[in-house]
Amino acid sequence: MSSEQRKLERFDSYLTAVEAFLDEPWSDGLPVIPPTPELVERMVAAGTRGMDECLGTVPRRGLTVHVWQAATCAVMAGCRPDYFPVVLATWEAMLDPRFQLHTVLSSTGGAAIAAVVSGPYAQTIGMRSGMGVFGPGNRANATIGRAIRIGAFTALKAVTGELDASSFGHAGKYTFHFAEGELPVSGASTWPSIRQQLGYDTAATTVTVMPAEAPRQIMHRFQPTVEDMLKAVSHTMRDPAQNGTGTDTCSMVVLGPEHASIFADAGMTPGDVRRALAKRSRTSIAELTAAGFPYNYPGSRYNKPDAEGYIQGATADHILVVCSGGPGAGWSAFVPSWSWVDDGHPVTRAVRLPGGPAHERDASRAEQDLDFA
Amino acid sequence: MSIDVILPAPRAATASRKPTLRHTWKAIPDQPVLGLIDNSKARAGDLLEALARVLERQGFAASHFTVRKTSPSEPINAAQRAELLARAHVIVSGVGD
Repeated sequence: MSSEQRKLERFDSYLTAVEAFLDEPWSDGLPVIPPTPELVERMVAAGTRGMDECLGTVPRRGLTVHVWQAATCAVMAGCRPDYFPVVLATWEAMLDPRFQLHTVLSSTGGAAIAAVVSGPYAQTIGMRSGMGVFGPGNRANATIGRAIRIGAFTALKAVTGELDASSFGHAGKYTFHFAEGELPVSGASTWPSIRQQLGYDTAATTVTVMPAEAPRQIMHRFQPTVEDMLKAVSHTMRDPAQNGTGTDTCSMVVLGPEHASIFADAGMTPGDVRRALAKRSRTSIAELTAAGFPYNYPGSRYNKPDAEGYIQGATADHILVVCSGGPGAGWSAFVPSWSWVDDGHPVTRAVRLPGGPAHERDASRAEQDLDFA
Repeated sequence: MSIDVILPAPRAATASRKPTLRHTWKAIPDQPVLGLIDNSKARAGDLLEALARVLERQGFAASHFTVRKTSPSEPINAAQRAELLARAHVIVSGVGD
């Protein structure tokens, strides 16, 4: 929809407007804030782009997303204006052609947009990174992700049964934004943050988006060793019922504080962890067969077994190790992509603040075997 | 008190749902040539072949040919599009899972 098609409508009352918006395919089923011009203008002013600027196009839908649409949906979702720079960075990442937004929004696999925010601005706006990180109760986490999903409904027509064919979908389709948490300390050094691993400076704030199945919680509270943890996480990663198992997929491994510290205390870096997990999350024809999945089914996209008989899943460059979640007996989570990297590649963008410096990525400082930029 | 709000999209009742005419199409004969788009998902090609054979056996189609996408996420390429436009009277696409 072009800016010329922006329409204003008058309603008898605030509540009439709320009800009218619920009658249209414009919300997630929950009431929205009616986006008055004043609220939308205030939202736009909190970002770095003009009201009528085009954020990007989804060619296979013949649809575009403009700043005013992103701002309108942010108001509807309940965002505070200072959340809007994160909303914009999320849209910029999602509209990168590598993300394959059309496919991500339409697939029967029912992908959510998982987005992890790394950097000081996440704390400034109060995003949750600790206890209950994937749960309800934090306005920033809840409304930023909700703004994106409402934008998918309205600007990109990703309405269930129309251009969203999700067979199930999952709760992450309401919202799936969260912040990177405290990083474990190993001796004198701290684990590098996501943004540092990707070649940004520590003062930057970044948003990394990945199309995602629902997260799986990983419990290990029996004083696990590094070896135990690698086994536990990799076992979850190669669940044969996941669409990406044994294929060129990608994923986020979200380590809770206790589990992350086990790796850090052993001197391992996030890179060491993902390389170990890439190797251990390989599956095999026997494992697939035992779970009822025929390896040779026509059209299946399993990789070929290697010399050892293992079938590679996500490679080390397509596994992002994230530290987040709250303390407890020992919990982590695995967030699988809903498909293959060619169908929805993870993308990262820096959050730009009005009057703030541009935080450009320096690829030479990035971990060279991490493909989430 | 009345309230003015920005609509995030056209209202469903007023939104156009007519398909867009993308090509001035040729006349469709009684027994058309079918162009099948295999989206490369598991057994999509088998399903389309079976459908085409039924249509041919029952006299609804003269013949068929298939183009296969390299990935379900990608559109057909220019050469495939040209072949469909040149040879097919009816195109079957939109195969899901």
